[in-house]
Amino acid sequence: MKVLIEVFRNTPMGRNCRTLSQNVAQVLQANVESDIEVRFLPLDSPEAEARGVELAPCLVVNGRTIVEGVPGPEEIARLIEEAVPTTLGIILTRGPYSSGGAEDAVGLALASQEAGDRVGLFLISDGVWLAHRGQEGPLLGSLVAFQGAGGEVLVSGEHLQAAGLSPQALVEGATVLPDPYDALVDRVMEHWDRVIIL
Amino acid sequence: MAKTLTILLNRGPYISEYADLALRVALKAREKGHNVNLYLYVDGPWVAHVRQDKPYHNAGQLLRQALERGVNVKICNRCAEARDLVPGDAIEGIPMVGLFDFTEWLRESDKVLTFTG
Repeated sequence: MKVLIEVFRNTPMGRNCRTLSQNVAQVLQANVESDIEVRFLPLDSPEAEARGVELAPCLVVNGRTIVEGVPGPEEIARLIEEAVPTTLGIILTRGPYSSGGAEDAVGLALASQEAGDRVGLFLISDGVWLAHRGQEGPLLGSLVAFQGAGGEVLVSGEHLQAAGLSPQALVEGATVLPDPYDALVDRVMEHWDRVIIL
Repeated sequence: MAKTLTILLNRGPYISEYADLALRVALKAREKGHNVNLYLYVDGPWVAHVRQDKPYHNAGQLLRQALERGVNVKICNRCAEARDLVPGDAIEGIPMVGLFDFTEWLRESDKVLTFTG
């Protein structure tokens, strides 16, 4: 399991930036067998902009945990432990373009993937409409990008039928579940580390 | 292996599908051998108010099934009080309790699902 640490520093480097770099080096030395990649980056880099980092020194772990200032070696080790990739299940019950639910679900799915998580998107109730291949708007493209990055799209067969949609009306690669509650309970209880309902 | 699932339901019946989804997940989890807790919170207690049979879909009936099949159900007492729901209004066998009972359930749960919003 790979961990990415980004250390954002001022140019020229001040005392705090040097201390943070030393602390990170100390954690690396103590974890030589772990798969940790460290990138030292300037504050005016595109990476800083992408992470929303505006002040240095700043430490970002796996793109998700952002700590400004100078965390000590023990705190850095804890941040690494907490930022480990997880398996996230997103249960979407709302249709696209009716509330922010579908947009939030897809945005969260993509962001979690980017941070290294494995993500399952479970479409139930009006959520099944998100996988409708005939829709216009930006969400379908995001959904396909999510699938392309390894995201799993699961669709309640019961709600698909209730909506008058056939499996052929869905984006390629979506899995239609004839017993959605059975599949949902299995995923919630056995496969996903974290679950959110939107 | 049996695990414990706690479900928080914030929505009442006949306003969204959340009550039905929560109860059907609860029933399926029981069927698969898990321990299931269901806490009726905010407008969730209204589900327990649906006591009569109806010629259409009935969340109250699902709740009765859940109780019969061993789902632990509790109603938030302050939510009930705020809605003038008294124990006699609700399906029998559901205690009205404080939020601390819910936090105890959280502590002992493997997974938590919140049907809210």
